[in-house]
Amino acid sequence: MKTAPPSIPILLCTCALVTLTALPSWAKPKMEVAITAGKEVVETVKGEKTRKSVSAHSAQSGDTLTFTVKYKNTGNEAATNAVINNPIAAGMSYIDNSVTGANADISFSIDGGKNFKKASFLTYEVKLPTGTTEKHTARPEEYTHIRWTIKSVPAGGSGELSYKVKVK
Amino acid sequence: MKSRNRSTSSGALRTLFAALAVTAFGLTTLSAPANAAVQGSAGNTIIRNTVSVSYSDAGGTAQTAVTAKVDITVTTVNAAPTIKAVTPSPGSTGATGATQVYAVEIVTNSNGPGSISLTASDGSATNITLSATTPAVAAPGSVFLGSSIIDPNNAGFLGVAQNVAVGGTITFNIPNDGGVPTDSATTGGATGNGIVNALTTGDTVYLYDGTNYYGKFSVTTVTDNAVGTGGSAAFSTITLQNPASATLPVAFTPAYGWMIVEAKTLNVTVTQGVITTPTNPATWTTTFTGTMGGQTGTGNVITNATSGLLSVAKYVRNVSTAVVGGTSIAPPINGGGATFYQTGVSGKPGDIMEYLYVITNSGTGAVKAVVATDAVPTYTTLRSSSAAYGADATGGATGTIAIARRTGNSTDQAIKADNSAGNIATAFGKSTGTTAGSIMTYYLGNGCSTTAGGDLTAGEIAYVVYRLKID
Repeated sequence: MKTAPPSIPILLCTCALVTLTALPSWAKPKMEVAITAGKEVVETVKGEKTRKSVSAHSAQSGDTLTFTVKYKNTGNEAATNAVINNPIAAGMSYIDNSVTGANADISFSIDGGKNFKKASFLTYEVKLPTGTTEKHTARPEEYTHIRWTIKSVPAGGSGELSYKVKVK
Repeated sequence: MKSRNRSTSSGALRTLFAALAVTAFGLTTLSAPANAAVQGSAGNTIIRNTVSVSYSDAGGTAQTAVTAKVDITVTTVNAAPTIKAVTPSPGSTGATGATQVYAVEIVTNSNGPGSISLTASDGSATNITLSATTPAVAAPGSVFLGSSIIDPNNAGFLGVAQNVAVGGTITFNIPNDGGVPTDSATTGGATGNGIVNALTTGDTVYLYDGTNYYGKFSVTTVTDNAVGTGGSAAFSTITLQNPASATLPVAFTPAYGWMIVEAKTLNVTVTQGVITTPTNPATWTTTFTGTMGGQTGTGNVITNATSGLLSVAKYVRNVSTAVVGGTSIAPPINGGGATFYQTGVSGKPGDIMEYLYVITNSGTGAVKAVVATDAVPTYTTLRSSSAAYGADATGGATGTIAIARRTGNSTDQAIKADNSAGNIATAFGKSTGTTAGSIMTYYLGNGCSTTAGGDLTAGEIAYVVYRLKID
């Protein structure tokens, strides 16, 4: 009876493998998000003027601010269908073509986040007193929300999104 | 278009949504007037930007969304204040030392609370005192004024015509100020103290759309809410009442970004100094300057001063031998009848010549301290006790005085009041002697003395008569 003992480790080994695959709930995506505001200042170093982005805590009417959204999947599984939704805060208006976001599908809303469309498809209609209807393309400053949709953020994956606003 | 229309994208827009044609993606927008003068955001406003991420796992199961937020505080920007009203306009003063109090109303144009100083200046003819203020302010000459804006979260109000009846109120949501200002300082406040951006109960405010002011209104209530932890900062509210004293329209169609600006009134006293060069009409312009952080706004008011304007003309007649000359006058003194001439009168040695001054105040106010001097001409001798002009002289018209120098001695003496039906005017006169070169001095007008002249009020004429004998 010299053959039996070696089978034990094999069995144990199998068990271990089974255990790992049988507990899929251990693998989970975990998205983390942070948002920061920055504004550009002109700095003079050794007579050379350079533009530099600094963290903003205050702003005045007419200022341009850049909001940067950083996301990271700190989980151990891909996050799918990540929808990053950012209402444009009251008191600010979106600056046309300022949005960035690699690998993201970007859309906007002009109705408080009910509907989202690509910028070029954002239209609304006005019924004139004459009864006819006029179609208008929404102006960027009318946007109420920005939405980035990212199909998949792999485990450990991260990215950066940004857009600019003007303080009213 | 400036940004005001997007106000409609959240609040009133949704209201209009139902009323107007809506398509699949339909939103209706209103055109609000673009007013470059108003700042869209109030100072101290906390703009909260909240981002949220919803996602699923690999199997498509939705996970708990995560959020993050960042707050930006809007800076208060100094702006040139408006001198809204100066009353009365024009003002008026009497003679030197008379005062006129002006109520100077200052309105802030800043987007937040701040101190505004007031100065006043004008020509050298006056001096100015900044006096008691209404309401009282901490430091004379400066006021601390609050300011906020109509928040975008005012569904039902924005774009909808309002008309606030006398005694009625309207309540607006206004941005949260983080509790920072007090009613008299930019810092030191606290949430819940009933003060938002230095606006509080009892304040006087206007609504301002960048072009027109509405009101003014009395602030009856301010709720000063905590910022909170929500997706956006909690707003505060302000309730405005139309007092019976509203001076401007109270019917308006409010929009997001309209300013709610505080007004205060300072009383400024202008004192009339000596007007060294009398002119009629005598006026001057006082300029009031409000300054906030180096930004100035000015307003002017005209003060009409009453000022005397004196002229003198000299005539003569030959008493001994009548000689007809040119440019005559028959003054209403001594019963009238005597005619004096400016030119063409001659005399021979021994003739009695009678001289006449006519001193006229043709101004709008009194002339003070009227003193006339003359010298006995060469080759003549001053007559004393000239009987034609004694204490019983009559015939002066109302408002005139007739005087005659009766004696030639050098002592002061009363010489003549006008006819008693008119103004009571007294004159004194004296001469250093009767020979050629003697100086005659006349103290004329109401309130004169043996050493000082008195007043001639507007329109009054003084006649001074004396006689000489040609040597």
